[in-house]
Amino acid sequence: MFTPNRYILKTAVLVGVALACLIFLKDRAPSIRVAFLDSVTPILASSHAVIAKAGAMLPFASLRDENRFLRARVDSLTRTIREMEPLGAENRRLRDLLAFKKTVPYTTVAAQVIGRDPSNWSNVVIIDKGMGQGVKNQRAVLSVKGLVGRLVEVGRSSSKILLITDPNSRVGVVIARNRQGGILVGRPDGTCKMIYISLDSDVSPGDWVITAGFGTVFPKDILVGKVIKVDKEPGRLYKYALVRPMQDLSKLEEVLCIR
Amino acid sequence: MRRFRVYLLVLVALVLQMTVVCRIRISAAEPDLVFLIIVFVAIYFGKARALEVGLVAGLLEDALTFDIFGANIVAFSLTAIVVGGIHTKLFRDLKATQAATVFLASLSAMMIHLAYTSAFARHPSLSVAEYVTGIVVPTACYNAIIAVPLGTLFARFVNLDEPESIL
Repeated sequence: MFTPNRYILKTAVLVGVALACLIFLKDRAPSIRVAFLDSVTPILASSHAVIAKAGAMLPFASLRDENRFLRARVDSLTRTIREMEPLGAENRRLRDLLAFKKTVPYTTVAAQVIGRDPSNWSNVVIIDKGMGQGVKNQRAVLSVKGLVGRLVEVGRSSSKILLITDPNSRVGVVIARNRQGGILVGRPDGTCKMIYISLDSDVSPGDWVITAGFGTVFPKDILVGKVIKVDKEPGRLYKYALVRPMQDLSKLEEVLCIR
Repeated sequence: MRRFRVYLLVLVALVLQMTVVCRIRISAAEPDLVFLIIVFVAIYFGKARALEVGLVAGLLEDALTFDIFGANIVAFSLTAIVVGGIHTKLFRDLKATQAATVFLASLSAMMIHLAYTSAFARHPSLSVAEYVTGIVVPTACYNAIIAVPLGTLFARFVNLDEPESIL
């Protein structure tokens, strides 16, 4: 049993440790987190491997694998076609203006998702590639279907990706059909919200949303998702659009990190 | 020995949280196994032990998450103190009481978390109402449902019949 004095002392020590952690670790959190993530990566990778092996032992595992491969191939080709559409429109527009600018092609590093953020508040996934494999911080991450997010913490052999469905994520996007711009923010239910769309703009459900290419993180014209609803923001002078990402990001398995 | 078992449970819960639990996610809600263990420690062993486990688990979660640092430490430890403070007044072996306690504790922990992150976040993109309806209430409901089977497993694993002074 705890005596009152011992209890008070213990509580005071614990609260003191917590306060010390908050004060001293707050500014150093990113580097400590990266080091901690690197140290737990083997545990996460082996847990992920065990779960994958268990899944492979289920009935029809090989058929499911083949089906997944073929679906991935179809998704990849569909994405290529979708991304060609704005490129064609852009080509025509730029030729008209006689100011053609070549889009720089990008190379990628393939990575596997080995874990997720333990908190309910963040949509962050952990991948098995880090700076040792050429992954760099603040670069865009894609899947075969479209944009996934951006790298926010890069360790030696693992990294964290902030998904576009995270409320802290912001991506400059445009509607592919008419290049109407906006900012894409994440929502907790797995969809995204395109905000700051002007009231007189022509945006409707079914429009494809692509990256605008502003800034240095996200290259231009990467497929992001599809508009499912457009409405006026209550009390504001702009509209918003709900956007469904190209795939269910809660079931993400493999990604491509742009170098 | 019991303390070792509790921390082992916290570590296992953390690994499961990061690898398996996301597969049973419904919309934005997924059960928080680590938080459930803290609540069970508070229900069965009181606030001093729950505060200790809450601080350690909060620190581990803060080290692994992308949230603002300290949010989980504050939310877990404050909830541990509140639930642990009323644990002698609870019919703690009754499943309905456990589920109700977990539901209310989840609500309060997430509201503390929300207040902490709102205070430090630069540009919160969603309204409080969107957070509450989108994450807080669904997660609290999910936690309360999972608490019923998990409470039994917790009680068996930590062996409540052992002398209490060991933890």
